[in-house]
Amino acid sequence: MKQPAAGEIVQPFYRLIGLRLASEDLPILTEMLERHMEAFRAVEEMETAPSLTFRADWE
Amino acid sequence: MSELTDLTIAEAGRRLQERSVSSLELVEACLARIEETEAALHAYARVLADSAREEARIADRELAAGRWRGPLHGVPVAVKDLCYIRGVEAEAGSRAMAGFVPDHDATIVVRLREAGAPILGKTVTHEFAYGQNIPPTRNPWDLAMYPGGSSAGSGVATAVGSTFAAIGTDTGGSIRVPGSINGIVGLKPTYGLVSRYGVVPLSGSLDHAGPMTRTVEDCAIFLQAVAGYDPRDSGSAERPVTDFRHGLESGIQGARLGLDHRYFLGSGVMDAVASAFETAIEVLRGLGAEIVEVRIPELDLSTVVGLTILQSEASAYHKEVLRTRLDDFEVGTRLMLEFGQLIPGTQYVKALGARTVIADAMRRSFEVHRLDALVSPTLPIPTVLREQSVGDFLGGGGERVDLSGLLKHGICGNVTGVPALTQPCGFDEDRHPIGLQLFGRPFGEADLFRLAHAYEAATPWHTMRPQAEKYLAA
Repeated sequence: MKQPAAGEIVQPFYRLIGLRLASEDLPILTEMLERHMEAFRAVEEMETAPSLTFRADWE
Repeated sequence: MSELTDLTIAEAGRRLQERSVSSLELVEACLARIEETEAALHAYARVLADSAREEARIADRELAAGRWRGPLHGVPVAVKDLCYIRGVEAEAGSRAMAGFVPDHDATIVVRLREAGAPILGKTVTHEFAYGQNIPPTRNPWDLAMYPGGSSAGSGVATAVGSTFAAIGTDTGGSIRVPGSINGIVGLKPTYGLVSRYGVVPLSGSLDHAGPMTRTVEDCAIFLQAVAGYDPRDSGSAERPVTDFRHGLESGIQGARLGLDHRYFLGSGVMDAVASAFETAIEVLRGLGAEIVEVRIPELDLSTVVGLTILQSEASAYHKEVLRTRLDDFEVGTRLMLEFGQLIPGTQYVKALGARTVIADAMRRSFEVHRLDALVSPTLPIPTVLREQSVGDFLGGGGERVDLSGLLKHGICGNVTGVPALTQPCGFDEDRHPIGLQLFGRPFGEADLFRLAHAYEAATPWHTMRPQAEKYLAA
């Protein structure tokens, strides 16, 4: 199945969550999403354990 | 600067104790300095002259009665306009907060009051500390350049002596960036050491509040006053506060300082920065420190991991206001808050897990190499043109600068939670300050202060001030 382009997802998504957008924001948000997904790929490949709280302590 | 506003906190505190100056005189000197500089620099969002004078009179009465609260007693300070002061408008740099008046003080403000420090006013911040708009604040070293952010007003006011010190907040470098650009000292403390209760959040798990001062000793004094457990801040660490000036003068002979050359001095670092940093390293070596080359590849992911967490948490916090007051946000802030809604929850959770991996890698490096600190330039460049300082959402276009480059050296401190301090270490050829950054072990602020104080004592940079004719004529 063909992967949908980010642009096909973004507008319906905001409509679904009830957020009114300025029309000029849509193409920028679409490109931001594409760039984020690309950058996040390396994180997806990391081995991580679930960790929902953060403490700085090393002890 | 007048003779009084040029004093350090340590010097002013001593003179207050021996009664050779009054707190009211210090407040009046700062107010005169504000009057002189604000038309050009716009560091303050709101000046609280009447209440500062009243707080100074109280401090003077207490000092006269022999009731000394500590070295900050009677020394005027400022707080970033994210911090609540009861009865004083808190706008966080945003029209979306216009008219909001909190009914309580932030814990950090309570602690400054307990320390007896008069509060001069609230300093300018980027909108909600997000760093996406151009603040009105001007860089006193060069009016055409970006003054740093988001704690822009705190950095500028401290640099020009319209306060002795200020509170900043730091989610991805927002204390250290304006600290470096304005040629002052700034500390992002260990996560959990300083309460954020009553501070408008940007990203709860990355936000820190901390001091911005003109010397390292002042930074330690200020931190001593505001650090400590606060049950009203869910991230607060329940542990005793140490003496941050302990061992301050004991030197750095034998200290081991890690340097990840590849990460912190790779592409994008300007020659002037690399040169000032290498000179600083030689000074540290000369003082007896050993420089240890380390490699922490996990740091490569700290910007994307930090931004994923930051954008998700910021958008969650502002979700309702975004629906009701969308048009009140600056365009850049609005886009970032809208964008955060698009990040899948699964990625947010993955980023939290990755954060732990990055923090573990940092800890291992400290342990394996027996490090006292990691060192780096605070920023890869001295600063940027003011107009270039807004976010480049599409990347690579026009003359805007990709701000993720400015985040790279700083946000790893927020992601790992370790303390990180900036101090001045030189200038570029246009006399824009350059910062040296030290990362320490969690809750190891006293060690960072010892290292930074030794460097400061051996160099002249902390004594240099922006030249008044550059901004007073504007």
